[in-house]
Amino acid sequence: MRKILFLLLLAAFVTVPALATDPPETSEVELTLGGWDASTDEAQEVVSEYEDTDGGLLVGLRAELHRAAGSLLLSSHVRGSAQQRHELEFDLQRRVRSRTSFVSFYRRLSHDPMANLEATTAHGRVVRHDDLDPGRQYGFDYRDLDHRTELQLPSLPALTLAFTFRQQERSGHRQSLTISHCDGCHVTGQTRPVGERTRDVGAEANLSFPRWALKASHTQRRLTEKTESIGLLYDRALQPEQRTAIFTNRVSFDALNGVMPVDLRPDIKKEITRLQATIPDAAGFALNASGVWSQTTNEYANLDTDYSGYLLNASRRFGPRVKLQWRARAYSTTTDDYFVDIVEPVAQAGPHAGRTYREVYGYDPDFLRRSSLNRDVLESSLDLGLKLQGKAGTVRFLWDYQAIDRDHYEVADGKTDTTSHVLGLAWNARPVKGVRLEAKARHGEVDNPFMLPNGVYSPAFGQNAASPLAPTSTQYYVWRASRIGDSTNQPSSWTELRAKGSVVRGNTTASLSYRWWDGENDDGGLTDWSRNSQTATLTLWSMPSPLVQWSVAYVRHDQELDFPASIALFDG
Amino acid sequence: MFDFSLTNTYSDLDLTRIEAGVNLRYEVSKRLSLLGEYRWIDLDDEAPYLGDLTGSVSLYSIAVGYRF
Repeated sequence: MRKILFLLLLAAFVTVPALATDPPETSEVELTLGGWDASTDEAQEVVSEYEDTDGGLLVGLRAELHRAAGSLLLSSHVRGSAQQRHELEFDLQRRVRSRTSFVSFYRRLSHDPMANLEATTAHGRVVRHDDLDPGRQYGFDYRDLDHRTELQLPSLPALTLAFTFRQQERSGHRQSLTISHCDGCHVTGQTRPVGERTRDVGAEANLSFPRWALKASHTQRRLTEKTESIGLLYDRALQPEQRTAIFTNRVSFDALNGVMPVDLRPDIKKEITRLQATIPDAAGFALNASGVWSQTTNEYANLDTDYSGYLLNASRRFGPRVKLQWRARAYSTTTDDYFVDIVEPVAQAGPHAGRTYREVYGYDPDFLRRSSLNRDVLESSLDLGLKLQGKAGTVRFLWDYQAIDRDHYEVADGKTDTTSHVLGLAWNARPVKGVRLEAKARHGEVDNPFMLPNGVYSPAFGQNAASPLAPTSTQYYVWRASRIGDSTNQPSSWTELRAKGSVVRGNTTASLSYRWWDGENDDGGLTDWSRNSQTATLTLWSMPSPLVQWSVAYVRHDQELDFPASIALFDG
Repeated sequence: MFDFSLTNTYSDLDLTRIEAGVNLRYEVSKRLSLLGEYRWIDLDDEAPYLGDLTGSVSLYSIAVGYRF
């Protein structure tokens, strides 16, 4: 990342001598030097999630050069070692136009203490946790380098060629949680190095004429992780009281298999092709149509996901007061099926010794995984604007529609499709000079929102736990199949209200915005989900004299979330 | 043996975040300026579970700018 950034900056400074042949028409350079610090109180994981609190130097540089041969714009801000922002733009007689930006910051991650994972029954069966790195503070450095260079020759003004490059990196550490023993009995937390890099390299061609324009692009993306996986020695699968290996036919692996790879991050590659056509005036409509085709490959498992999508934008004015905008999108995704062949060892002790679970109960654990993401989607967004008389402003009527048809996933009994309608009303006006007002109200209704049908709450009853020592006991797959509760975090009905206003008086501007959102879903069996949030922001800015300016901002955010949670009561 | 009276509250989330800031720029001369900034962020976790996310941070900076 540093080498690439250095080469791009070097290319910029190489062009400066080329510009130096003539004296600058305009030039301005500003250097800022200072320091910053922070004081903290109590937990910082969330309140300072994206804030660096170590303090340090503050360095800024802004340079702007404009000449007949071209121009150069440079902006740099360094705040301590972790937070940086750089932007470099230059052009050579408008034939070569280049823009490069770099952003870096530190993000904190949470450390789950797992203090709730400690329980013991009278018979010595436990749920417990081990934190292999207690007290460790987790987080990662994020860096984003983005570059685009365009070439447009005077002999072919309609054609513009472009080269694009983007690289994102995350480096640091986070907590990795793994489950051992049977199910949630022994949770181990350990540090997992993060060394992720996503690199995009692309090429683009634009053909632009007064009556139409065409753009084509191709991008290759690659995601790699420096540390493919970490290791864990799973517990020995033993009956907790008798300490015998009667459970080995109920697990795929345990300590006998040695240290196993966990938290695997496969390398991913993706190829994206885009085609876009624009017609500024087709029977009064401004049209824009595009197609996107991509293939994503999981290089570890050699699985592909194919995507094809089509987008149409149309807008038109009907007289001076009415404007219609319509946007429609249709896309489909298909992921390869995958046959999951479960490892089936035999029991090493007890009444099922020498037999697999399948041989004892006749249950086939193997399955063909068909992706729940395979779907066809249709979306439509309609915006009809009406300019009112005088200074009453503009009213907009909004209607958003979405239909998702899934190939393999049911969101309700026998239903694979979700349909949503959102109706809205928006208004904005400038009733008097210096005052600007906006308001928007939306209401959404969703049929069959995303849900996990029969995913929780089993009313089944068993006299004995599902144990090899109790041959008639209710087995795990019976418990699971008898679940009756539907869980979700998606609303079936929601309402949003927004209001915004700003007042400019002399050299002072005050602006206030407010947002309220409320949604609920009790459509499914035993489903009772709701969320309410509201945010208010007040900003004051003033420039009482040409030498002094100040600004003050206040933000308040409240959120309440209610949903039923299922807490497993462990007994071996 | 077990008290489940509070179990229904474990999944509740109730967070209040307040952020306030002041930004000042004083032009000493045509070339020289003084800059200062203060930001205060406060998070109040009113339904803590396992851990309390309540915390606050104050960030302040001062700098000198020179144009040439």
